[in-house]
Amino acid sequence: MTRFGAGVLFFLAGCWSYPAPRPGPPAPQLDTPRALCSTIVLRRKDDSTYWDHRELVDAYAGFHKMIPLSVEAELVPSQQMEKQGYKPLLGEVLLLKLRSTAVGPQAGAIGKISWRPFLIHDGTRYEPAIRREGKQILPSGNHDLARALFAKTEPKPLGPDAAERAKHSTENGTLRRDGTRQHAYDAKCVAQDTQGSCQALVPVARISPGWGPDVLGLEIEFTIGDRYDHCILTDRRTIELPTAASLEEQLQELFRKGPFRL
Amino acid sequence: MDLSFLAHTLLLVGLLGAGCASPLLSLVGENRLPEAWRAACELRSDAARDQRRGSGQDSDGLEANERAAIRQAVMSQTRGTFVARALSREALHRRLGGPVFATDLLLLTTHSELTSYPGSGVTVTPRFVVRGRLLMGQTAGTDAWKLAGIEQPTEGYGPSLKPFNKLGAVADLFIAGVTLGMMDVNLRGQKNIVEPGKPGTPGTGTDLQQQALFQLGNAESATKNYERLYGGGGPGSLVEPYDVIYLVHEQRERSIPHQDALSLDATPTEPAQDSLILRLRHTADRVSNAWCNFEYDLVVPLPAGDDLASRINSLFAKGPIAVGAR
Repeated sequence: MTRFGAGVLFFLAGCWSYPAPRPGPPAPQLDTPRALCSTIVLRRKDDSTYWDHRELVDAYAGFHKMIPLSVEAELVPSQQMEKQGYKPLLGEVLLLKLRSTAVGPQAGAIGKISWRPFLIHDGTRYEPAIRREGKQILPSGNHDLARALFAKTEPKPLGPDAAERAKHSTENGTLRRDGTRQHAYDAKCVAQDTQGSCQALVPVARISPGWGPDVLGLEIEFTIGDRYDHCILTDRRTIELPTAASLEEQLQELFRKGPFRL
Repeated sequence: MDLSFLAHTLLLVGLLGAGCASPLLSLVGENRLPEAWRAACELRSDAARDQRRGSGQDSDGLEANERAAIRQAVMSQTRGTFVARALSREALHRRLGGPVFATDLLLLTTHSELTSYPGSGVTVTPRFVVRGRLLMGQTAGTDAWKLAGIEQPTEGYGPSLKPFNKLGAVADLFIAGVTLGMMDVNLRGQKNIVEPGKPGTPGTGTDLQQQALFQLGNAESATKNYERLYGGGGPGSLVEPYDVIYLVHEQRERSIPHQDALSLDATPTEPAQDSLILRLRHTADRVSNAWCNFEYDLVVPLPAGDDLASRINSLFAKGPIAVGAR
């Protein structure tokens, strides 16, 4: 036996004795809303890596499939609300009446749901126009300025009173002693233990620049679990608006077909 | 004897190899970018320490080939898009129906989306070189009032005469009474303790100027709020698009230094032709465990046109441009 032969044998013996890699811990079963929520919370930490973000995106996709929302919507003419005692909405403000319901066998996992709508149109983003939930302050002219600053298409020039109107906010409705609000619009929808059912009447107006296709969306906060043991998950879901001449027509076209899934 | 000679030769070759080949280049070559990232930061720290002691050169510790290799590796893993819309000052004033800004500028709104990148996220910051002049902007909320040449209204502190609720007023009176009762009767030393309160200022400028500037500030904070919806990660990551509103105007400087990041550019970017320069900043993540970020510039020539706003809009007329690997 040469030294070389001994070396080869020694090498082979080493290979044989090297332990086979053990299987890693089993991947977490992401088959419940709670498990997906926990994964999402873990993956969105400050020092997240690109691969954390990939898992985050996949977990959100899984969550969207697991708990879809069925949404019924209506575009309410503000004059109709004025007749009922609501303050008038000045300028380009749209009044959306939205009702969500969680569908599917996992809907019971939702303890609390809260959402606020948004729209992307003409290079701008529409958000709830009520700035303070408690005081119901409606901006009366800021949305016109936002359109002038950010709209993609050339807007009509602002009237001479636009800046003056923007200074004065419109108070709308006051809180009663029993906590209910008289003649009040909503800034968002909040419901507890309704399996995702929630209804709100929200005025929306242009706030900032917006990018991408025209969409209607909801920014949603789900609370999964009960009051003592729960996981909170923020989500954003959108549906593309059909093509039409104006935003009102786009929305009416979408709403005419009945409830849509988000 | 033979074996000993062979062992010494191998040792010598090994030592020479270790001395010559850059460990950073080896790490990049082995596709171990996180380790290379950390090593580059360590080199930078060492160089900075030597500089402080006066024994080092004015350098960040990276050789040219190391810098180029890291840049290549970072860019090859980066994919994303950037799009912007510009409005000249004249167009802005026309839309608003009156003048707002005293300084010549343009309103630039930008949007970037990343689909692949090393690190925890990438922010993309634009600037422009036009006929040798550098134009870039602060975010709209920062410098807007200065650029408009007016004073911002301020709210005063101290006693306020805002509408109050009656219950609150009664409670305030009660607390004030108790407090005064406990105080020295002659209120000695009070002037040293109680701030007299400062009235707010109404600001200068027209209503239009004030409301337009407040709206710009509101819009900027709105973009930040919705970017933060998913929390963590920060803007410029896979889950959060990055929207910014800039007021772009001429700068005194001719190039922008990489202040608190490690530059992956060989030399400062100063293109000969009119260009949009995008600065990409990669933030480190927990895998690299590095304490410095990477920055590099991408140069995109501007198309011909009458003014900068129309040239920018014509550059993005067909949609966003790609950043990173093409």
